[in-house]
Amino acid sequence: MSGASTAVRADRVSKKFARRLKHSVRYGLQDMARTTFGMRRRTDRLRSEEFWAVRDVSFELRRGEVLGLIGANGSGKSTLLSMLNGIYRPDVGEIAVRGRVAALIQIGAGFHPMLTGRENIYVNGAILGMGRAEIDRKLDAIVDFSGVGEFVDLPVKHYSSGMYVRLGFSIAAHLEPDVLLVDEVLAVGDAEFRARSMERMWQMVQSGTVSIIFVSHNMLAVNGFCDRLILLEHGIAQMGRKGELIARYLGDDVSERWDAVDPEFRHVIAARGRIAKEVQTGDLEIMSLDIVNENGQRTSQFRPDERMSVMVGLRAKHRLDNVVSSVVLRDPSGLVVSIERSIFHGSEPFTIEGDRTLEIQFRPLQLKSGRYLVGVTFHDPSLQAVYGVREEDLIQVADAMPNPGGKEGFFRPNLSWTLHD
Amino acid sequence: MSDDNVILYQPEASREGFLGTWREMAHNAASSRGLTWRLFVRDFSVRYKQTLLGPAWAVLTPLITVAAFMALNQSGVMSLGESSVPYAVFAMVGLTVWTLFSGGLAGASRSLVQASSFISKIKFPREALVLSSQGTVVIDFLIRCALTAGVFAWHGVIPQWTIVFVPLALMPLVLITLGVGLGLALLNAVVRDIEHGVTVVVGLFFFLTPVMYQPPTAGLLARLTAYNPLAVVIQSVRDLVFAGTLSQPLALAVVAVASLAVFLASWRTFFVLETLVAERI
Repeated sequence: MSGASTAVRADRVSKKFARRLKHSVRYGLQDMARTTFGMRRRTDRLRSEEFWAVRDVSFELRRGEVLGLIGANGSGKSTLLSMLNGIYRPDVGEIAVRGRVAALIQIGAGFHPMLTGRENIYVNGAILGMGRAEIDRKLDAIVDFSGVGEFVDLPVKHYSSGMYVRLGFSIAAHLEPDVLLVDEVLAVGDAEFRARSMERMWQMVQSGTVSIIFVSHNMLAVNGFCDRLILLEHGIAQMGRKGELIARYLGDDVSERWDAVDPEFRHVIAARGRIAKEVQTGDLEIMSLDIVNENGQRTSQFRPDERMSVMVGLRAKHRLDNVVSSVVLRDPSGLVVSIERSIFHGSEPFTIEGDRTLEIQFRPLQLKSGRYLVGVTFHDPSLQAVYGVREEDLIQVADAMPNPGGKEGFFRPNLSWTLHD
Repeated sequence: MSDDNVILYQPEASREGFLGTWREMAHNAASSRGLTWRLFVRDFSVRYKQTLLGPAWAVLTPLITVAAFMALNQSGVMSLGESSVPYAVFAMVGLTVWTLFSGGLAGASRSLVQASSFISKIKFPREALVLSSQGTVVIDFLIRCALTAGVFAWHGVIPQWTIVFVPLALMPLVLITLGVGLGLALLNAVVRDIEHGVTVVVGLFFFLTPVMYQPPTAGLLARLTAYNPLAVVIQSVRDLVFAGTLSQPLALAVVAVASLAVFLASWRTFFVLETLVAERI
């Protein structure tokens, strides 16, 4: 390996698969026979009905770096991850990995439903490569982090799917790996757990010892969390700047994909302040964002019937025409409560030059009690270019009245109730 | 690439050369001891969960088999040959040894497929699965040994002192079971026919091997028995328990050497092929 700071190196790695089970079985037996008798396998050639799932991928990951893998379903992300994890052997090329690898690929794989959480921690820990002493030492931390509490001595078949995932993640997260492979697994589990999981990974990155390879369809998470990206298209790796690759992946339907991305991690990344300062162009910088009440005071506490203003300090590198602003409110799980665009509120696209402050006013807020994430985005009217994004500001809405209907709904309309004859 | 901490993944299973591969295998085996034990504890602790009779099954199964054969013998439907010891004692010894083989083979051939959900997700030494599947078989074997001892006591039969060598005589059987089991586990991961085939073939061998009857002295079966390594092991165990001398020491030695060769070849094949399994399972 080239230097001590290199954690993973992939050198022209390729992997092929058979399209049908029938061929897979036949080639499987052939390959086993040839390998057993020491015959040469032409792994670098396709047989009929085979295709390259991953083709000629090369990259190097340094220690402490976070690499994102993006691409459509079936583009080879999981296959590449499996090769890095040593589950599939590359058909061509070579992968070198330094140190202990942990994979958050399928959390809780290998759990036995009849065994208690505690017993499963020992079994799963052993499968993941932990010794008994190591598990003994980390047991309390694992149970604590998973939040399963007294359920730890109950068979896991009685666990909710959320508890199952939490326990699985907690075991893997306590492996103290040198390289962590994360496939889009944390889409399950509740918002609070996603937050803690992300925070845990973030801590690991901050400590500078772990390198992460991160697969996600959530462009906000990818952009915020990863230092570099690889875009896989039909198994072929595209390299480039983060913004360029995300734009290329999102393609023409930017707005649709952008809003449909999984809410996974979004608010956490936001809280970490690692969210995109710019996704694509960097023509427009968001210098500040202040949330003020109707008296002009900065605050994060609001009543449902109060006015709220979002003051965005902007700096344009050069004169920028046709700028549209979007404002989005999310609940703590990342669900979009409201998304509004300036042009649909009678506001012509802006021309921005130098330093400007944009005020977005909610008149009034009309939200039920709860915590909300306020985000603003600047883009052109067709959403081809995104100039700036910020999604890291929380507000707390507190109603004097109890929340009618419990947690359901977000909107608190101004109603009057009149009984007519 | 010099430091030990770096793992390389290449199209070839191993670039270490002939001896290097053996070293890698030994290293792998040593490092997977903890996992093997843990998997065994797991299998064992779930074995009799949600059952009413629990471990009594390990006792009931052979008792019923032996009783059935005794009934067949008594009614004259089947002649099981004369033996110097009561039939129940004779049959229990054979059956106890036999189940070490049949149970072991069945467990091994299923071991990888049963874990397919995490074989395709987590990297760990796969041989731990095959080895740990033998754990419950060994426990069953020990329970049956205790049961056999009970049958001995019931009939007032006292075994020869040479019984202490039985574990040695069983080694070839264990090696054959592991050797064949490792191979079948791999094959079963790719073609599921193996699992069904094992049941049929083991069932057939149960009747072709003198487990429940005296070794035949003439005919086709006698010739088959002479070349049947399982028959040699079972006969040797009976010799050590009942006679105090080995009736076919040379055959046992040949079987021992051959079984070691089978085991080593099979283990090496398994090591070389195990990564091919994850993508086909």
